[in-house]
Amino acid sequence: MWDNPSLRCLPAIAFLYLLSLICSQETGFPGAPQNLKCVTHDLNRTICSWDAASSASHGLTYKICYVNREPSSSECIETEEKRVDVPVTTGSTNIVITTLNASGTPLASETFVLPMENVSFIPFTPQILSLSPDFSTYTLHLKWNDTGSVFQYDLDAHWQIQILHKETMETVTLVNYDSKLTSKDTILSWNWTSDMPLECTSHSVKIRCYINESFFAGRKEWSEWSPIKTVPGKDVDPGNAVVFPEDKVVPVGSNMTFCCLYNEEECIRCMKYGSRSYPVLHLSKGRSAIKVQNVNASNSSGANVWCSLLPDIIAGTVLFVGYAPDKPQNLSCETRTFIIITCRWNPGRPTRLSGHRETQYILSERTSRKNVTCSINELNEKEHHCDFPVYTDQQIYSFTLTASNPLGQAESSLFIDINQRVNLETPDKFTVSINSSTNAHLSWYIPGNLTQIRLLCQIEISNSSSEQLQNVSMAGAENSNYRATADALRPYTMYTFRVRCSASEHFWKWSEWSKEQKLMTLETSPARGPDIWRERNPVGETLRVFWKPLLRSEANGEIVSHEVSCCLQETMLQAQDVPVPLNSTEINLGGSDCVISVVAKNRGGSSPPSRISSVDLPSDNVKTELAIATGDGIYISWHSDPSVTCGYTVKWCSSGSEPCSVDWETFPSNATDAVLKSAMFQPGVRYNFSVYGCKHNGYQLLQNIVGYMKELPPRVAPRFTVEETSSDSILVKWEDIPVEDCRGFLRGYVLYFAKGEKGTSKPSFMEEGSPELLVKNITDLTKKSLRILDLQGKTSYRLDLRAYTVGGLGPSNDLYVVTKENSMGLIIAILIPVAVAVVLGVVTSILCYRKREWIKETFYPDIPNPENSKALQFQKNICEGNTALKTLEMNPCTPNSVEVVETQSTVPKIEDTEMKSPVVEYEIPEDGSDPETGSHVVVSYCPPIIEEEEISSPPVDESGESSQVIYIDIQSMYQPQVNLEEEPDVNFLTSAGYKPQMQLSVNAMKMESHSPTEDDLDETAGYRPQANTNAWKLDSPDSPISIESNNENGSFGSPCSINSRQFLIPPKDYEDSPSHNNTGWSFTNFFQNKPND
Amino acid sequence: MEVLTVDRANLLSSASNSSSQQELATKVEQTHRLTILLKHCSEQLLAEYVRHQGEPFSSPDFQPPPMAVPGLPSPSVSPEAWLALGDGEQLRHLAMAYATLPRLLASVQQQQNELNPSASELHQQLEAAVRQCRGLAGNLEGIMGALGVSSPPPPSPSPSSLPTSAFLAKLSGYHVCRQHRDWARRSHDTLVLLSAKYPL
Repeated sequence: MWDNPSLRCLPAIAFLYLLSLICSQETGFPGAPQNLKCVTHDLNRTICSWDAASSASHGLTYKICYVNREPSSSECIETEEKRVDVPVTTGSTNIVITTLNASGTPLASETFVLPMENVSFIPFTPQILSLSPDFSTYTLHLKWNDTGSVFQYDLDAHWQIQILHKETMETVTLVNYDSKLTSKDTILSWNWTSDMPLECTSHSVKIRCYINESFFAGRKEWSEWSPIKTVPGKDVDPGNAVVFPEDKVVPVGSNMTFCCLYNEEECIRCMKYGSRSYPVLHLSKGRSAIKVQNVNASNSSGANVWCSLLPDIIAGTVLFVGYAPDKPQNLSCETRTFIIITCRWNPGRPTRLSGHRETQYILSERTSRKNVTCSINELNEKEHHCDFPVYTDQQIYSFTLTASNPLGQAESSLFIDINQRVNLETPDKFTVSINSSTNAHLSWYIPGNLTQIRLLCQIEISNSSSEQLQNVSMAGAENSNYRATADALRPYTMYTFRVRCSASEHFWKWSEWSKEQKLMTLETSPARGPDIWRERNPVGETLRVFWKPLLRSEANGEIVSHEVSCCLQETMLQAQDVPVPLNSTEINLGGSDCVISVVAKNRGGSSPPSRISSVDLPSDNVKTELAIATGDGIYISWHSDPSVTCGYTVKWCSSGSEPCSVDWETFPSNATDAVLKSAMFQPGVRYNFSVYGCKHNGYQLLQNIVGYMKELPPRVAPRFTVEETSSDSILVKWEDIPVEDCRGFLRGYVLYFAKGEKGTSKPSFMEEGSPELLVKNITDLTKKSLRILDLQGKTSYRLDLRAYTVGGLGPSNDLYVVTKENSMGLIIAILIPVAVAVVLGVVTSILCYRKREWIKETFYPDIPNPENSKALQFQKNICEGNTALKTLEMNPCTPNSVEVVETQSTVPKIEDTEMKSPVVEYEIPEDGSDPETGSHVVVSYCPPIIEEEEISSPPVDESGESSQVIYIDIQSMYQPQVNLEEEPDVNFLTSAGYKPQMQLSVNAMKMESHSPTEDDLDETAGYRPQANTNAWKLDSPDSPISIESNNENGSFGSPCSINSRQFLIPPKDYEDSPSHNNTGWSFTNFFQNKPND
Repeated sequence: MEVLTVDRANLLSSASNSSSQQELATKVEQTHRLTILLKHCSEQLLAEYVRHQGEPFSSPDFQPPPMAVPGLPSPSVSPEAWLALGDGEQLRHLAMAYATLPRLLASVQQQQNELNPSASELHQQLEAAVRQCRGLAGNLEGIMGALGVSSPPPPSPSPSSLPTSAFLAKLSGYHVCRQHRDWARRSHDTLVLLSAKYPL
């Protein structure tokens, strides 16, 4: 009836209407009903109750008549109770309650108008059907009836479930739970998991209900709380304290509560998780707990939780903390024998759990619906595996691997075709047999039922130089031997065999290689004849035949010997068998040429013969050419000879020197060059090659070639010497380097030269990088000497001569040479200071001459008068009176002091050693160049001096003038020492007397380059003094004594006639007095002349 | 408990001739050496055992209250009282203990297989302890036979109630190992005295 919303509205409207009318029509009777209260539990019936005066309640009955306005109905009932059950109506209800006494007389009547709004809707109090604990999971299972059948239609119900614990009934939680009432009774269930083990303390539950009927106009209220249902905690016997939870397995990071249950007489001392104490929570008497947050993974035997009790009791439990299993990774399955399938996987992260808590793996297959439990030791194995049987007629397998432990489970799946996952067992019993030089038979065993597949086997055949794989396909069989043949093997070769197999159609994996087998193939005859050459002995009729050993690949076995034979047109002249290791033999030709053949023999047979003719054709005009070094070989080329029909042979001595170890190489007829390579070639060694042409009737030497594999710098330096040295040049000569020391073709020499002293550190010229370094490159090898020009005089030079090849410069040989002195430079260097000294001397002389009076009086008075001594009384103007004096006046010359002296033949010569000094030679021109100095200095007799230059070109008229005493500068006639030495025994007597005047030409400047012929010319040309000029020199007191005195002496002269040029004063006078001899600066000379003035 | 007193004269008379005397001395000396080994190994075993059980077992000051091990007589008699017992009585006590210890040690090993499957050293030592205990039991029987001491009745095959929880397993294993050590000490003491009485 409430299904229609419009109908449902009707009671509400009726209640609203009655609201204004609600009032009690009291009659004033003390037992009249009052305070009518109405409640509905099922929205069907309303239970109304009222109050009445208690004084007269005994024996009273109530007649209740209720009238519904809509639909209009009326019903009366009588009851002794003060409550009545009336139907719920849509509108308001008029309730008339009449109180009747025992006799049925109405005592009072009360009328209530009951609107719907005043009716409360309070659902029936729910009843808990059951509360059951699950101690292992700390879970409470709650069941109750929703009493939905009470209501005629669907309703939303809300439930409140209150969890309480401990004896003190502390609320743990209050949970809301919604359900739908479906007009029939339904058992509702709800689970709650505690964070504390249920054993620890009592847990209680109560529920209540609220039904949300939106169209009900009255008040809707929560039902009463259901009666409490309690799950008590575990009780313990005295002395048997326990800790909960027991042997629990939890994931890492869990928050745990542990409780210790003990007897009430006991007292808890501490409670620890592992080694750490936690604050103890007292649940009730004899019950304590600790809370541990975020537990770490435990070790294998778990973490101990324990409580220590007084008196001296210990109780504990173990907590196992770990991880749920990972999903099995890289699951792969394959079969080796078609008997079992082996699946492998990686377990992932370790669970840290062991014993019966460790991960269990179950391999299940969907098609066969078979499961296999895998026994795996998680701690010992990194990769897990599990075997599953192969079922006949099943090819496709769908595997699921489930990993589970107390904390969870995970699984991986794999779908395979068994024929595509074949990984065969390692081939076993592998044997190889060889009974020929090229074939081998192989056999091996593979276990397993392989009838449904074909096998592909790979045979590895290897020797020291090569490795080859041979694939063989064959039908599979059950636990069978398999065979194969390896062919195309090389004779007499050690081979290593091994084999591996796989399924041929669907390749998955190769098996492991079998064990290796080593065997050697048999020998067979050599593949070809050896390379041969022959050389005729220069003396005698013998021929030496050479052959090269065959390569191992050509020998096909072990060469035992070589058979050498000599045949002349099918007729064997001689034969010999040469055992190894000899590689040559000598054949006596006995005057006739033949064809030599060589055959190599091993145990397998003989090689084809190699043949060569013994005939050497005569050759002329054989040229020698140079080869080109390539660094690792020698490039040679030869001129093509059209008559060569059977190739060229190049022969050389591979040792490079004696004894010759013959080596050769042959080339085809069209070849004209080759690069020869040999391990025997060494760099820097000269090899001689002979090129032979093979012609139809013999071999002919065509060409000789010398060459190097690699040219090196010469090993030694060229020996060289200095042949000649002058002031500006050096002549150097050197010798050839021996060929064996050249180590390459000599390309030239390099001469380095630079200034350098011997004994100083002498780094290489090239390293020094001296800017003065000069280099001369001599490429003309025929040249053996070199003149180095433009050098400085009297300078030490370092010379360094090296030979070079393409390979580079050889070592150096160095020399130090000092050039001769440069005379011009020396002269200039001396002349300037001498000139300065002379000028100074002249000035001093002039000064002294002018003051001679004063000097005389001062130092040498005629009558020494100390009082008059000017030296003690020096006057100021002592020299002023003589200022007019000229330098030289001939007038004062005292005639009586002049004597004409005949030249004496026995003039004692003064062997002035100083005259021999070469230095003196160079001073002579100085005197001549300074005639004035000479005239000033001469003070004794002071004849006029004829200067050298004047003498060299005297005026003709002078000779005709009256005789006049002149002074000739002795030094102008001074001859070089050489002449002095050359003519030591001049006869002065014969040369004395008159001689025609000649020009005396002594050119001192030509001294350096004078020659004897030039001297002769000087002597014969022009005037000559009328005396032996040599005598003058010798006799002259003015002969220079020393370099210093030379200038002064040069001014002394002997008076002589101009015409005769004879000395008027014999030099003896001077000689008598040694003091006069060198008086250029002597005061005595001054004062001796003084009276003449 | 049945008490049997055997005086020395009886013992000597039972070992009447010198060859059997020599045999006894050899047996005593062998057993003495075995007890030296057992004493050393039992101490090592206890240390190894606690090392794997975690706190509080591995704590050096862990001294739980004594716990009765079902079937195993406790060596809780004081050393003085022990020495006060006669040789025959000591031997009987030892024989009773070593008739039970191998089984108890084996069950400890079984528990440790579950708790510490990777502690191979512990497992080896437990196995060795079982063997040594069996060996000692045999030796003791021989000596007792030589001395004429009656053997104790074989231990009643008590229902081996394995501990229900891991903690109890650890604890009971600890007690077995500790008592094994204590009995080893006792047997050593006894055999030292016996070897003094029956020198080679």
